[in-house]
Amino acid sequence: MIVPLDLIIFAVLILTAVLAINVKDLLAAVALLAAYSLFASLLFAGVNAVDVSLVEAALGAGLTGVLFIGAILATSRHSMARRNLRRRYTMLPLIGAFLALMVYASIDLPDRGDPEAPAHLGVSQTYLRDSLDDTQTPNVVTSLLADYRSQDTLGETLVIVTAALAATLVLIRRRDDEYQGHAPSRELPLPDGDEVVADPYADDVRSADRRRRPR
Amino acid sequence: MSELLELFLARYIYLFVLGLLAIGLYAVLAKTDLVKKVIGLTIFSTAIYLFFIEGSLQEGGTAPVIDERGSDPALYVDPLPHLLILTAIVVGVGVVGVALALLVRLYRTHGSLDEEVIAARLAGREPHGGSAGPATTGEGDGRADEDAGDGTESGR
Amino acid sequence: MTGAYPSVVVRVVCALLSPFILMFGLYVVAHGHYGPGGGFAGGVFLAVAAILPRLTLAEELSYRLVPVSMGPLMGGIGMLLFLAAGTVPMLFGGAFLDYAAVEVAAIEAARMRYLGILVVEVGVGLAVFGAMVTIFDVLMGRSER
Repeated sequence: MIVPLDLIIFAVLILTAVLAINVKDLLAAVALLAAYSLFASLLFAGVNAVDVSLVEAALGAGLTGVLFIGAILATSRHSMARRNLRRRYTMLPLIGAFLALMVYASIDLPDRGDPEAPAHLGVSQTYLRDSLDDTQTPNVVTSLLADYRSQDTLGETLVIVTAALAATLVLIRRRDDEYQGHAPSRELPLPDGDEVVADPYADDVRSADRRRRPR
Repeated sequence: MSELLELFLARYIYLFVLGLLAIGLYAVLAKTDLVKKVIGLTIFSTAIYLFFIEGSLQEGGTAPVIDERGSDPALYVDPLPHLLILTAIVVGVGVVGVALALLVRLYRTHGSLDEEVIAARLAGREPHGGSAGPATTGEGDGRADEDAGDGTESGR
Repeated sequence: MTGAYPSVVVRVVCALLSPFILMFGLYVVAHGHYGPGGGFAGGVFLAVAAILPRLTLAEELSYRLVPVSMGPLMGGIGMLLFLAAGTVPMLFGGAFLDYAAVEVAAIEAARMRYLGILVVEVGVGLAVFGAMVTIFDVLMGRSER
């Protein structure tokens, strides 16, 4: 923990975050996001959270970027959003209120690095004291992850595998996939007998799907 | 003055984390591009990771790997937040993966990633007023990309 | 995005780099007891080692090295390994995931927990590897039908 270095890294974090949400080119935004994660992992390493730092560097700065770039290349590279000033100005007071609430809540938080902070006096002392005798594992984070709190890890692993399955189900192309999307609402009569508004995009999208489908 | 400096040194983590939270929240609420929203979500969650990990710091503590100095808890930083955030990061990437899959699906169906265009189309009406111009750009973008996609696929 | 990258330099460097990343991933999974690492980080490195050839090499090659079916398969195997590590102690009368309950001659309880941690780490590593490769393949439009 070196305070000037921390301040510089935090300044870079703020800068990359602001640029990432404002730049028009989405690939540049993703590169900035990866830089943001990399500097965050530097901060983690600076406070001796080595395991977290390793995972953040590999996942946040590496794999997240790859997934984002894959999705962007499958869709469109340029940010399609228009400036919406009205929305922006309605959101700013909300964010201000959120910040005020958080500042108010953070008044009671302990100072940085305080060894007497309530969070440090709980069960983690026991874990640190007993880990080597109980499990012969010097790395306490590993023994916590896979032994003391392994049910938590079981749940998390299940979440990741479920996320992969969910992504597959969302994107999988089946043979009868072609008319999903608009078709049911267009061809079935609506309950109150209204005419469905003709959809100028539907044909484009559907023909694009048809062109893409055979592999 | 020195009191103020001490206060700043003790609390500056909270200031910066709050700043990052505000940036992420702004992107999620005020941006209409869905990819930008997911980017904002990532920024927001990373700020929360920072908050947790900085809270695990103890003066004089080193990384929680027991070495020859023995297992006195005062020698090491708190390992519990590390565990929580370690799993949270991985789950966060899983969430981002699902979100991106949903975005690709939305783009395939609607040809746009602009939240308002999609909302208007779901409601069964054309994007109104001043948004007509950009909406057509979006459509053109979509077509160009579909064509480009076809090109690479036939090249496979 | 997948498929052979036009530049020879990129292709050769990535093809050379990939096995070393794989080895580093195995090291990180196995070395979690003594240093930073463990199942989550190691699984991510394994996934990166599988994804890098997909980004740079020709498709026939990269998808033969790590086929699309590998992702769901490894995710399932990892998950089952984790669940097996949880249920085997129950056969010995212990609680779920209580490795110390498993009684094997000449292995003390603490050593048993050490080995249990290793099994769980490998399971988590495989599950994370499978999940990440699956998400990548799906986003790239490559998925088992």
